[in-house]
Amino acid sequence: MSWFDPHVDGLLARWAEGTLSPRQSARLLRHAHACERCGASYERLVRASRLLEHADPHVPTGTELAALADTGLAAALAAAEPEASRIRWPSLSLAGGMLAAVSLAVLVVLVQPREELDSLQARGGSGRPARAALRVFCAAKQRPLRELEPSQACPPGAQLAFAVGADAPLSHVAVGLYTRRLQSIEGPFSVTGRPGAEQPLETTLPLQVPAGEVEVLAAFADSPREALAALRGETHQGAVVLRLPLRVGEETP
Amino acid sequence: MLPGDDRSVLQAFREGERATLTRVYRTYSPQVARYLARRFSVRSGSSVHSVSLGALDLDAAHQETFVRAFRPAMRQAYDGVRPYLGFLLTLARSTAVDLLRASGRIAREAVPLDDAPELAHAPTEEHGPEEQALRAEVRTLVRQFLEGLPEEARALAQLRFMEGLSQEAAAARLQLTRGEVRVRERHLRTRFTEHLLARGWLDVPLGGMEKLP
Ligand SMILES: [Zn+2]
Repeated sequence: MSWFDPHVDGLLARWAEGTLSPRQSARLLRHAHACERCGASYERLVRASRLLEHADPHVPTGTELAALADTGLAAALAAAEPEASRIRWPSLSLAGGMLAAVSLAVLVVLVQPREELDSLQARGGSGRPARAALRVFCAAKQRPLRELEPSQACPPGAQLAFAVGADAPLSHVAVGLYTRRLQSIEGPFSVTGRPGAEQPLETTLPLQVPAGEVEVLAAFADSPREALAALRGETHQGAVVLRLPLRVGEETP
Repeated sequence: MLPGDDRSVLQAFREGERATLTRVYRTYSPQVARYLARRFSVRSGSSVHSVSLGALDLDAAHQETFVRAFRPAMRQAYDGVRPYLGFLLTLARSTAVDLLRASGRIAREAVPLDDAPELAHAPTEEHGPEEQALRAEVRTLVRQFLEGLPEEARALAQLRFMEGLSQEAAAARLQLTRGEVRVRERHLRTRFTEHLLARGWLDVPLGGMEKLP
């Protein structure tokens, strides 16, 4: 065993023993969200533990409940801060780590293109796609920058700003704003952030479209060309396309 | 109603006082997590089926529920009269559904059904052959583990897990001290993990495991 463990095997072992500290719980879960290998181990450990302790796959164990409680508190308290102090660009890197997989998982729809059988086997058959994260912000005049959740509104004429993160091999992203037909594409950009530590993109998209439903798409791939191709919906392998439906219009309180 | 139910608590909660929010969080976190771990019935078109969140999605949904609940606007929206748990569980459910939609587990237009308990069992379960096989496998693993335990350890597992006794109560029944029960329980859990490793249920060598006797 090496001294430096890039994974969280030791924390998983302590989880299994029921001896994790709150800080360790948070680290374990944060890593498990971002790492396919450890995420799968955690899922399997939980599954077996629930069956051992409650004979029911849908009842969490005491260890699990304690870890969830310890992990979620920081994000909950951060969300309680007044809007103005919560959402600023610098807060992305700070809050990002905590809100991480969470808001993002809820924020996006993951569209994984169907792959050929042999490429699935080549990946070891675990079937979990590489991870990517997209956060979208509404920048309207005279108002604080605000993060948008699915179907939330941003007024016409405002700008959309973005923060993205992705795990290797996803290295580039292209973003697009869609109405009934394609309106605008930005990028490709190289991705510097990771899921949970998203970095702002140096671009904004103006919402110069009539009020109504729109969709933001971000296509992540392992090269600039592939990212653009994925955004255009051309054949692409291993690309990840995230979608966020939005409304152009005045926000309803 | 919040814990420590009186006007000053509600006031502090609305103002976002950290100690109060922390207390509310600690009070309701287990109930929210248990609720989110159960099966949800959803209707998509004419078919009804039940789905549940995986362990990591459960973490995400639990965290997101409180993130939504504690945002300033949502704290103001709570009237202080209705039980706060009901308020939270409603949020938890829509969070779970959002998450299931986002991950493609349920269709975008799928609607969650009401929480009537009979509905939770009525719908046809949607389990592919792979899921069925996993379930059978883990059930067998647990049974084998329990059968392979020495008498004493099996008695402890019986009391703590199957009967759900507290460590104190289990200690009294086994005529042990609570400290002894705690140590034995830790060994029991470690042994279980070793069993999972030995049977290939876990394929990652969990750090520190190999050092145990
Ligand atoms: Zn890992």
